[in-house]
Amino acid sequence: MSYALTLCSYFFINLILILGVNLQLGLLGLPNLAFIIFLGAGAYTVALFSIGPAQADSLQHYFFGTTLPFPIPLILAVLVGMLLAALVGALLLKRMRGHYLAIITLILVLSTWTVVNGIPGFLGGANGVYGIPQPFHSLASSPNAYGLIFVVYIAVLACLCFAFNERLFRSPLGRTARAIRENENAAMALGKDPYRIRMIVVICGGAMAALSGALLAEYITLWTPAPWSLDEIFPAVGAMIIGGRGNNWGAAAGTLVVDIGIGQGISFLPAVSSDPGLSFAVQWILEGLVLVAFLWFRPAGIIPERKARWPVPVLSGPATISPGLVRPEDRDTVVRPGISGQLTTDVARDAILSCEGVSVSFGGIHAVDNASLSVQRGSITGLIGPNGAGKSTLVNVLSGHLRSQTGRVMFDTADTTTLPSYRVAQRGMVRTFQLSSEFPRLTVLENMMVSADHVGASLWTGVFRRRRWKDREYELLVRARGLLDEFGLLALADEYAGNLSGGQKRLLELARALMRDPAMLLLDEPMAGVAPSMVDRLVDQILDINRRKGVTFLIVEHDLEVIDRLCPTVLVMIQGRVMAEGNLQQLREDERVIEAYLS
Amino acid sequence: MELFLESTGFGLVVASILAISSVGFTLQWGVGKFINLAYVGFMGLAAYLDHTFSQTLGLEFWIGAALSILATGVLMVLMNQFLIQPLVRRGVRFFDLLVVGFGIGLIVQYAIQAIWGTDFFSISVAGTTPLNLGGLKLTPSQLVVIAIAVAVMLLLHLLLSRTDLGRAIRAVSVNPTLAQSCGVRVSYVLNVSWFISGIMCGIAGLVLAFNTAVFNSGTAIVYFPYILAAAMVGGIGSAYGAMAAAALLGLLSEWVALASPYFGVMVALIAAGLVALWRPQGLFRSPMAGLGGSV
Repeated sequence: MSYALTLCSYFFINLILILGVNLQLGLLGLPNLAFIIFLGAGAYTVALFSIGPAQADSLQHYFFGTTLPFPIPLILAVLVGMLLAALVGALLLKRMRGHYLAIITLILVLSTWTVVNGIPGFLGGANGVYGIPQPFHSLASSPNAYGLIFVVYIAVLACLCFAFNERLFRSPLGRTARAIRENENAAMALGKDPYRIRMIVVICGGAMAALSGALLAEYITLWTPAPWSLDEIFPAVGAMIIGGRGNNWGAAAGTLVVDIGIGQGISFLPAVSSDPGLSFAVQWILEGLVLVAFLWFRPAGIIPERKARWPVPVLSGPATISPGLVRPEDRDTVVRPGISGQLTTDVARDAILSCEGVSVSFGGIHAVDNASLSVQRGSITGLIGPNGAGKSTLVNVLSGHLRSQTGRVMFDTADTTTLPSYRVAQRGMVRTFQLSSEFPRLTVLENMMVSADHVGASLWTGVFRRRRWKDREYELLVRARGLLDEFGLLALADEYAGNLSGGQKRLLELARALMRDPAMLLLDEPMAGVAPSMVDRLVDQILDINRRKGVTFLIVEHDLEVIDRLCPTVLVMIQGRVMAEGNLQQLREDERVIEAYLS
Repeated sequence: MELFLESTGFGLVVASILAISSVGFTLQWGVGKFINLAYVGFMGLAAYLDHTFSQTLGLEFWIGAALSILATGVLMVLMNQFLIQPLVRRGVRFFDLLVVGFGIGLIVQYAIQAIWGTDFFSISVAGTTPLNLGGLKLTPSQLVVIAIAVAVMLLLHLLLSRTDLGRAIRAVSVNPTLAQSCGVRVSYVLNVSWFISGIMCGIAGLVLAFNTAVFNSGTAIVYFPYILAAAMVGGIGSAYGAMAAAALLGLLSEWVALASPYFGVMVALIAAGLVALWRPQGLFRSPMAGLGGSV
């Protein structure tokens, strides 16, 4: 009986940690190994706030100590975990990715551990602190009865964490987090602030790690550097990978396999169980082997990430796009063919997008050199130029993905020169990329749903007030299905976007951008890698969007036939500058253009 | 002053051990794009193999040493050929590979414990009576360690700069796809650089044992923060950067260790953290060199 209670206690305590790890590594794909520090911090906090001041005659030394009644130390532990997570996040999340984030958090773990382990008077050093009081002791009549009470207590907390995670994963916030995991730049081009989402998720993960540590300290009543050493990162991450990253039931399954299955299964091997040192070694070796086996044969884990599905809305008819999509001021816009043969630097009155004197250099190379352009509201403007002319760099500046070193960019009467790309997108300019940039592990429908702004994309509303965002969800669902129908992708709605063909991905990107109701679309080589039959379809779609919805287009494209069919006005970029403007016929006779293309 | 000179002597020895180990580590990171968290585990393994060969089996000292170094190199190649490369082909990505390396490290570490127990041993290579060299007090075994480090660095320099193989390794580290299309046999070059890394790892494990009076299963693990720090400070994948960083960190950590022993590792870790935050390409490289660039 007491053995079963011990197993249950470890299971629930570890489950809380793995759920926190699953938030950061599974949902967001963020290799943050510092979670083990948050675990340790939670445990020390609970200890310091409940064991009372250090006694002069006692063998243990620590720097602070007080006795607060039951829930307060636990709450403080969670707050400390969140605070540390916020600090680590503020320090690292803006500048670190991938390898570097993993390694610097590893260094952080090593440093923190060395300090705490090395200074005896701070948190008890290598000896740690002991005598941590357990809550609800007065309720129990016997040790067994207390064990049961403790299991119920942590089971309730673990279930709360599980429910929180489930709601977060299924909320619009969770969907956005997965989009950022799949393709950060594309998510930013859809107005998502990755830094904000990362902070939210890392802080939630920090809270769970700290809670797990606090409960572990209460359970074993002492806390030393050993249970939060570097090695302990491995079983936690391993359990998440084995169970299935991005799935909370998977986290539970992984905890069961690693902590209970392997951890306790060892004791049934007679040859090993008699030698504690050996059984410990065999346990670690088995955990390593099981992890490799899973990555080899079943990398998605026991219970892989779930595909999001929505019920088909009852009223979904073809092309049910709300009339509000067309802005009143755009409705009468007639596409005006550009006729001026030379570029005017002053911003035209009805320009939606313009830039003046923009320059970007990499090292000593001037990719964009004092470039200026303006795009008329409601037009389809082409941007052509030989390879290396700086077209993509200029597009990156216009969309805010790159900061210009000089000059300024104006979009829709506002100065956007220094705005990050997600802010530019929020103002109504959405861009696509040269390489197709769907979110591969999201379904086609999810790609659409994640695009628009959503009231449920905040933590509080998304997790705790589902009723407030259900209507918006339904509205978006109807619109997304309508657009997919219009683009001929409705049959593929539940397919992973990564499985589409090149042309279908392009269509999806265009449809996805339209979910945001943009005033302007910036397309960087939309026809690259698209089958010829699909090109016609894309051209028709672009003309149709421009005509019906008044969306302005700036299109970078090498295929001059496509440019000819789409763009009455074409800008030519040569060696980092916009050198000529006009229709394609005029440009074909322009000497500078001919020279640039031939030389 | 005497204390300072003494710690400078220790620093030179630590720098030598660190140079050999961190160059091997950074080579794997730069060329193989794999952060081998099992590296220190293999260092420990090399020392235990040597202990077994020369003391348990009674082989000649240099034969035992050569065998254990070779065995470490071969084990690394096997790990690359039969574990890491197949996983990469199956689409296992960087973070999972990091975790795999972590797991292999734990397996090696605990396999050592399971096979050899937690006993300690020592490998003596030369005398332990300190010699006075212009104020620096170094034992003959420490001089051997420094000499080995200098020799290994020279050989590696010649290999990288003067041979076709060295050029191929550098090409793969900069751009494997381009190297492949230029006729470099990338999988072969990867295996060779893992072998070189393994050899360096084995030598590092042995010189560490030469310099440690009581070697046990935890001795090499202590070096992990230093190796990681030297690779970061030198710039990931840069062999010459790692050499310079090893010299810097070895001396620096022994000097500050005069105040308190655990300051040494803290200095290394803080240096690594600062470099990662503000100069991620490494202390000795220009920002345009990129990451994992030239060896």
